[in-house]
Amino acid sequence: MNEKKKVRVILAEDEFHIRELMKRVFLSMNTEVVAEAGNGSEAVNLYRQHKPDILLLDINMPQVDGRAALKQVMKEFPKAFVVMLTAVSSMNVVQECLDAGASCYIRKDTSLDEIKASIKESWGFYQKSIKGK
Amino acid sequence: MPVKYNLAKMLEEIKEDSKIHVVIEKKWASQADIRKMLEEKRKKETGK
Repeated sequence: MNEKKKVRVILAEDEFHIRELMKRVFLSMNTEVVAEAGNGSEAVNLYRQHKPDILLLDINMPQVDGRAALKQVMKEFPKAFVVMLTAVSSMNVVQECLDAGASCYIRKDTSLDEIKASIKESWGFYQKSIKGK
Repeated sequence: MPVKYNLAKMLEEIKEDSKIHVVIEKKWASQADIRKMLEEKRKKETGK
C-alpha cells in the first residue's frame, strides 16, 4: 500500500498461527495492524472501536462466524473494506459474501504472493470507487 | 505407470449405457473462479 498515512488493519481469525502469518503479510505491505480478534463478535466490536481501513475476516470462527460479522459490519459501515480469508470455497458462500459487501475473497490455500496481490488489487479498486463517489 | 482416468469420458459412457442423466454442477470455487466472480461484481458496481 502506497498511502502516506499507514493503512490500519484489524485481523479476525481464530487460529493464532494464521493470524501471526497474516500480521507479517500486512506489515510487509506497509500497513499497521491495530487490533486482532479471535471471533466474529470481537471483530465487530473492535471494528466499531477502531474503524480500521481494512478488516480481514475468517469465516469459521467460534460464537459469531465471519459471514454474520461481515453482514453486521456492512450494515453499520456500508463503505467498509472487508477481505475474507478462509478455507471455505463453496460457490454459494463466496457469492453470499460478495453480495453482502466483501471487497475481496481469498482461499487460505492461496500463495502469499497471490494473497498480497489480491488485497492490493481490491484495495486499488476500492480507493478508486470511493474517490469516484 | 499411473492410470489416468478421463472423468468426462467415463461419465459420457455411464450416460450412454444406462440412460442416467449426469449433471455436473461445480460447487467449489477455485481462486481463479473467485477472481472472475469479483470481476463480475466490480463490473456491476461500476456499470462497465
